[in-house]
Amino acid sequence: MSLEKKRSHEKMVISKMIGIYCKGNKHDRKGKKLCSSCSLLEDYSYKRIEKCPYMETKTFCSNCKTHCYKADMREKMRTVMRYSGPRLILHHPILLIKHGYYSRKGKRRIKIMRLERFKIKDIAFLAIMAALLFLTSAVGMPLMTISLFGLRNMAMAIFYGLFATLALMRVAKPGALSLLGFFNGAILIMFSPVMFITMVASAIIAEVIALLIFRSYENKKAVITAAGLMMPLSLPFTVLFSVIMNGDPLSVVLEGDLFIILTSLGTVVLSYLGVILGLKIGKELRKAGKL
Amino acid sequence: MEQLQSSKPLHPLVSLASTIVVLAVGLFYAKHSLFFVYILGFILIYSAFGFGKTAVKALLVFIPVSAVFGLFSFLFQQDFNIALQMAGRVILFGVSALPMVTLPPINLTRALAGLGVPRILTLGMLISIRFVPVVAAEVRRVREAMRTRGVRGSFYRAFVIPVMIRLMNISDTMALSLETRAFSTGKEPVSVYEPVTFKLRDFLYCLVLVMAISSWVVFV
Repeated sequence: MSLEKKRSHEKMVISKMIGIYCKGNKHDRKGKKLCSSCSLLEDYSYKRIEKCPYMETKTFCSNCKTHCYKADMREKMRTVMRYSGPRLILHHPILLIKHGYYSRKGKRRIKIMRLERFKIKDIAFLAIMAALLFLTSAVGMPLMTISLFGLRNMAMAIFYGLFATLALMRVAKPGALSLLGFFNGAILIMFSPVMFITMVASAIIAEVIALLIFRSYENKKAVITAAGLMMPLSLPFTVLFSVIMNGDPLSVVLEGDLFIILTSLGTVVLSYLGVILGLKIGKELRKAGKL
Repeated sequence: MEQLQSSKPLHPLVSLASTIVVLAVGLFYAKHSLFFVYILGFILIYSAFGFGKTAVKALLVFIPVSAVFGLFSFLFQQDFNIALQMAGRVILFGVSALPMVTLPPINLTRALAGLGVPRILTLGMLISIRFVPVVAAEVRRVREAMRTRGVRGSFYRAFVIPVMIRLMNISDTMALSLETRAFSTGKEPVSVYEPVTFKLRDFLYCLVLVMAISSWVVFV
């Protein structure tokens, strides 16, 4: 849409909304014309649209970071929007759908713009947490001797839950868990590329799920979801690699139904136990001014 | 790990590809009667490319470990063949990782930086690999301090919290020193002082690897 076309479209939407408000509130209208107060508001909003510097990229004013309206006009416009917004579905349903779509798109863009860049401090902390994860996950190595699906994942789950929670509490930025998985995988790649893929993929998937639900790590539930899901999500990859690389049929990998249920459930339970422990330690570290 | 590092490592991407291919093909043939010939073959190839000493050092570690794994496997499964396969897999695990283990981590970072991988990733990778021994030493130190003070029981208060606080201090100090040395995570152009290039030795290794793997797949 060209700039001029976009401006006239904006003006049309504003006019329609003010019109609905003016008519609905039985203002002193002269025929189809607006009342003096609404007309004043319409003129003012036209001027704002004319002078808007973000017209090229903007969606709707509610998503804008600059508040260009005067306080009284802003209040008036807010009242108009509040009244006309829901009623728009009766008068101009397509316009309402368009508005909903662009509002959501605009808000998402702002969220992405707010993505804080990772600082050296964050990277250093995540990398050290990855080194600690590698050391603690060594407990799972002797369990390689037992060919029971999910046993190693279960043994390591508590550590992954714990350190991922601490990492996300300190670096509460989208992408932090994926970076932790990547750094952990960077050490593991020296020994086994399979583990690298498993760790990175499960961290990314866990993070995507948490961010799709909660949008950011501001909510504690997002931290709990992401950190708790990381190790359980490695289970499908364990099956996949056992089938592909060891050449074992799926039925052999998953033999012993009860044990598989136990180890899978155990992985989830221990992972979330790690998260709870992580939250507890995090709380103490926060008190000590370290988080 | 530093003791295993070679003075003439292969190109990092060649090492990575070799580790993946040798491990993947090896695991696929783990149940084959000639599996140990496969492992021996690769030890010989590595020796020809100057990793003989490292291979011996690695085998000195991995053979006893594989024996323990095999023994445990035998105790659990009561099957000698499965125990032997398990031991073989452990040795394969160590042998396939040799080109990567002999690689100085800085080479991997340089190669990735040369490929345009974001600095945020290469820097983090380097820190995490380099800090494994540092973190291990720190954990040991806190445990020793715990023992010296005669603390028993209180694992959470006397061990977990001090370790975490120590590691956070280390991470803060390191971040500060990195920033002082003008390291940043931004998109500023950076110099790779010793670019890692693909040499004739790498090409020859690739050739030998491809020939070995393809002849194994065709004839076995």
